[in-house]
Amino acid sequence: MIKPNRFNPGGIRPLAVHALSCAWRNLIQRYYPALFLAAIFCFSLLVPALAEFPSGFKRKLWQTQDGLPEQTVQAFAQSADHYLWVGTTGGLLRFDGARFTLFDHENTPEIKENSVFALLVSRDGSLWIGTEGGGLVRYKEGKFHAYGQKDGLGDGFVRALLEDRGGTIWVGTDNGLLRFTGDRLQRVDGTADRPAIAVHAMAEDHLGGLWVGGSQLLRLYQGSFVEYALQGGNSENRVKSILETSDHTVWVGTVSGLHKLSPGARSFQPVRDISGTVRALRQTSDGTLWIGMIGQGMRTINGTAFTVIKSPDVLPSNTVLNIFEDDERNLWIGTQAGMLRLSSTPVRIVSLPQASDSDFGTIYADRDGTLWVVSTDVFRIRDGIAARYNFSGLEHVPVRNVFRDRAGAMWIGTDGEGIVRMNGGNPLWLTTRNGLVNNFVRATLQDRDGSMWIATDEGLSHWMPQHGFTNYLMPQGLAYFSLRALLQDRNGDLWIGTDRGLSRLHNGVFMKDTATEQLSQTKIWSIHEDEKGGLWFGTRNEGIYRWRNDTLTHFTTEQGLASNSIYQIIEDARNEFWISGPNGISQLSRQELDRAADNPHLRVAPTLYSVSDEMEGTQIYGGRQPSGCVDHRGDVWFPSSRGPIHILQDIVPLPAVSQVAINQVLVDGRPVSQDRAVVIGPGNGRLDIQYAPILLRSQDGVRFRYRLDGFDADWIDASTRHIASYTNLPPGNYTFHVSAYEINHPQAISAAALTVTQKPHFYRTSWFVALCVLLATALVFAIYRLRVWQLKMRFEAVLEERTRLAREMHDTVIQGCASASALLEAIASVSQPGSPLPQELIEHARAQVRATIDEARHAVWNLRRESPSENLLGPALRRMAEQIGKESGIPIVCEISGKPFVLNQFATHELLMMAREAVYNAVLHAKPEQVTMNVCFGRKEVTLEIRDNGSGFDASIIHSDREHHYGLTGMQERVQSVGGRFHLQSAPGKGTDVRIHIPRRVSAAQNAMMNA
Amino acid sequence: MSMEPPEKIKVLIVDDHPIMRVGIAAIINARAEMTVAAQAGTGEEAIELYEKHRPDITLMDLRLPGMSGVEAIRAIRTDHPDTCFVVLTTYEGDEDIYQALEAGARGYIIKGMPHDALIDALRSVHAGGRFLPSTVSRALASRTPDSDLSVREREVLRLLAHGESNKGIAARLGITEATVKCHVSVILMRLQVGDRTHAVVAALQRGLVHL
Repeated sequence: MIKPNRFNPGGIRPLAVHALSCAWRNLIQRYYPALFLAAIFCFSLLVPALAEFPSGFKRKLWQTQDGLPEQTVQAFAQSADHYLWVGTTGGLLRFDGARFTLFDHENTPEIKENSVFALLVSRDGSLWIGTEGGGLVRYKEGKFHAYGQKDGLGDGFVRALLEDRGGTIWVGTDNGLLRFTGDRLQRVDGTADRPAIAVHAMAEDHLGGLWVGGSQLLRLYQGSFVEYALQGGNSENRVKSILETSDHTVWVGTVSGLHKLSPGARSFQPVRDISGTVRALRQTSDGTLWIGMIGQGMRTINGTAFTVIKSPDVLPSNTVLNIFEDDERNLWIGTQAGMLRLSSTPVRIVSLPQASDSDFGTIYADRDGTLWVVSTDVFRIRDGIAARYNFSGLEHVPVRNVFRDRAGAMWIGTDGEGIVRMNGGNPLWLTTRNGLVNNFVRATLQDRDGSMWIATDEGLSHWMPQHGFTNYLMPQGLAYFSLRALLQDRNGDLWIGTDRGLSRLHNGVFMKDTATEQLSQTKIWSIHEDEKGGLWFGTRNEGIYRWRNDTLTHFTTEQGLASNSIYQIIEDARNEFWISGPNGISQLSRQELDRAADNPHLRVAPTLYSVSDEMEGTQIYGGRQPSGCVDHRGDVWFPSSRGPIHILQDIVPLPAVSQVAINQVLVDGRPVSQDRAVVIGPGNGRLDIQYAPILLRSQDGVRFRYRLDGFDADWIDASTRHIASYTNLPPGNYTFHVSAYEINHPQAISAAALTVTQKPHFYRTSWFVALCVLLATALVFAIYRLRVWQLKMRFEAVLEERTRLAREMHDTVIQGCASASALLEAIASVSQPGSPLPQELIEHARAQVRATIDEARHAVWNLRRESPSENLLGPALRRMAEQIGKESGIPIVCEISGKPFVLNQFATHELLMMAREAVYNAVLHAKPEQVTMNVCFGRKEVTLEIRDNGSGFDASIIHSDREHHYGLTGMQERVQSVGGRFHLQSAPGKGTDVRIHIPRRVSAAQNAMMNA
Repeated sequence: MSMEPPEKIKVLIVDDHPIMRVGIAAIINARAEMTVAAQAGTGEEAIELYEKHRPDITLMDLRLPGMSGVEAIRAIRTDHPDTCFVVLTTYEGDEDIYQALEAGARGYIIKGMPHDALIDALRSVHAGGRFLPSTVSRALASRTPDSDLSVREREVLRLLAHGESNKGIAARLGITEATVKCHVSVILMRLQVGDRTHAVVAALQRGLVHL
């Protein structure tokens, strides 16, 4: 190996050295990753045959392993809620861009046949589903309805569905054309002047004519059919597809080819170059006509450009059954081997002519807009046309890179042959013979002073026109010999990235600073200076370093970078960083990186242009400069093995995230039905809300945030999570909001909301609290009423007591005193001074006064509060019997039987008074030998019997014979007042038997009185 | 000498209390010009004995078991409008006095008065005069003229005095509780009292109700 040094003055390149260096080159190409950075770059590209393809597409394929029930996809439609409906031979699918929901015969009985051949979304929001053999099904507002023979549909094979401008639904079947009248199907053909037709395709033209194709080609216009003939035999002309394009050309695909009726033309002309069954015709929004064929892939026609698209490059199968463009301008292609989505992206790969193996290394944006793409050959892209370019005199020289200096001279860095300056006339070769440090050029830079810096595989050369080369190698202080990047900062310092460390050259002297020290072992492949003077170092495996204000900040995948392998950092006019690396290209605003530098908690979210749907390897190159550039329009370019990657800056703004939908709500892991509102019973711990976007293009860039109003104070950044979980929500009403946006378009937000009601435990419900309040109120009211009732009872008791007292007073004291008074008055009136006192009257008076005192005492006794023992009936009766027996001298026997119980005071008193009355009556009037008192305590009542063996009387004349039984009425009244019964049995000479029954139960009023 | 002794005033004593009758009879019989013709314990008995003895004066207690004294007076006066009655009672309520005088009693004596008062009353009434002691006159004078209660109101008042609730009164009389309330409020107004207790007390005092 030659060690070039700045003192090598030789102008002669030895052959051996050349050969060696060629061998080296091969070796390096094969093994050295600096040259071949095999990166998986996941673009799938349409290979344009004639020119750059009209727009870039990203490709994504779904097959049975991705969720399709069967591989054959034959119909598409999109409903207003943005769902894509897919008709397969295995059923109907609803697709939100990521997840399929299958409707088939098993879960939807209305779908009698799983093979869905035609789909239509009509203006009323209905989805019409035409099946192969199972008739027509309508899906509206979540319900399926089947149409069959009973509705007028004679044939179950529905091939075409169309809603005309008048809103009529037309149904084409294998046997007949029908249209809806009301809710019934009416057959249009099969009449005398219009024989039955088999319909396979329908289209409405701009005049309102209805084209119907199948066994024939017809146009129904203003109620009458016109038949159109196609060239060729009948068997070749079965129509499979019909389309009127925006230029009013009518295209008819048949089993043998494509025919077109140009505006104004009278007859169809076959389209050359297309032979075979044209099954699908579709014009996309950019005007391209897409032609799907059986067994022959697709063709596109855009103006005069004609493209063939075939398996396996693009299509999974060459049998294309349907082509559909959704409202996001994704193209959906139904094939016999799955369905394919082609999404336009701002990224496209410019395929270069006659470049069988595009082994490109660098790309340079010239000041006039020309792009120089260099690999084994040099290509010049000018005005969108890429062409091989030969610098005169360099026809066989392997070129590495191109650079134009300020004077307009081109510097062509070569692969082993030094650098060549082209400026009009003869090229100026500069090689090691002229002092160049190494003949393998990796980067070229013009100094502010006009001199040139040339970084090579093995050292740095500084070329000044007058002085020749000055070389910088490790002995001079260069960090490492293998150079990767060059940059002159605004202060004129030269920064040199190497495969092991960073060097800074200040006025020809290597300087050490924090950056060079900290990055002394780092492979620095890219250096970028921002407008603030900050330097950004892209490293081979350590991410990005920012050097600003003598501070080094490190960004890695930890901070959100797509990769730690950085090939190139480019900043466009909008201060967006475009970072290439083995995982592809990511886009990131410099502000976002700066913010992340200031706040270690922030993560950056780059847009990655590497999403792979089909693992088509595309190698991106780095390590030789320039390994990426911004052209004069601001577009960003990177070199790759498939051609330069072109990222368009004037991207058509993508529509907002179509819609985010709340798919499922789980309460404690169990799905609950949710129709804008979820009610969670008490005691449920966990709430999971699953949501997903309905986005038919790639969902990789979709981010979510959500908030539960009433619970979350702020939005919660859910990143790419599709689920929000809550545990132990307090009872209440909440609204769950989820919004989705694409990181490329963070301002375009779509949202969905769901009402969540967490039911409280019953003891926390308002009705329960209300009930409690009500109960408490009722209780208070009841207590009040009870109190009032008690007072009333007490009042009644007082009243009764007062009444009783009055009666007692009248019956005893007043009556007795009045009687005694009358007797005394009588004594006073009859007695004369000196004559003896009328003894009889005196005796009467004495007895009366005594009796009155007795009665009065008893009346007063009843007023006193007495101890329970005094309340006992038995002892009181015994005492009474004893007393009266002593007074009268007549034995009074008192017998008590049964289990004694305590009567209330009032009843006891009344009973005692009655007993006394009865005993007195017997003793005073009946002249008995003995009086017997029987007290029997029964279960429910106490019975008092007073029996004498005296004279007796006729009980039937009790009322007229007041003489002896004046107290009977009073006794009866007393008995009644305590709710008892009174019996009297007597006959002259047979004694008297008085029975009093007093119930054990006492009245409330009596109780109240007792308690008073 | 055989002087035709003057006709003695025959008195019928009506009182349910036998001892009372003994005393009264003794007082009357002690007078030479009076004699007790008969004694009755009830109103019905009084009517019967009146027919039998045709006394000059009937001494009538107002409180009798069964038929009241006033009713007995009315019953006897229906057939014998000139009969003289002296009420001897414990009642001194204005209503009792009023009712008794209304029925035709011409004297009204309260039990417990000196025996002279009784004799004076009997004499005075027998002579065709009236006998109302000052206490009775005063009580009568205090009677509010518009305190007349209807029959139904009296019944309500009576039941009220016996401690019946409005509900009980309504049940007893077969009328609604609201009607009872209405009656009670009229009673309170007529008796110029504020509540039921006072109404009962006033009714008892005035003899509108007896126990």
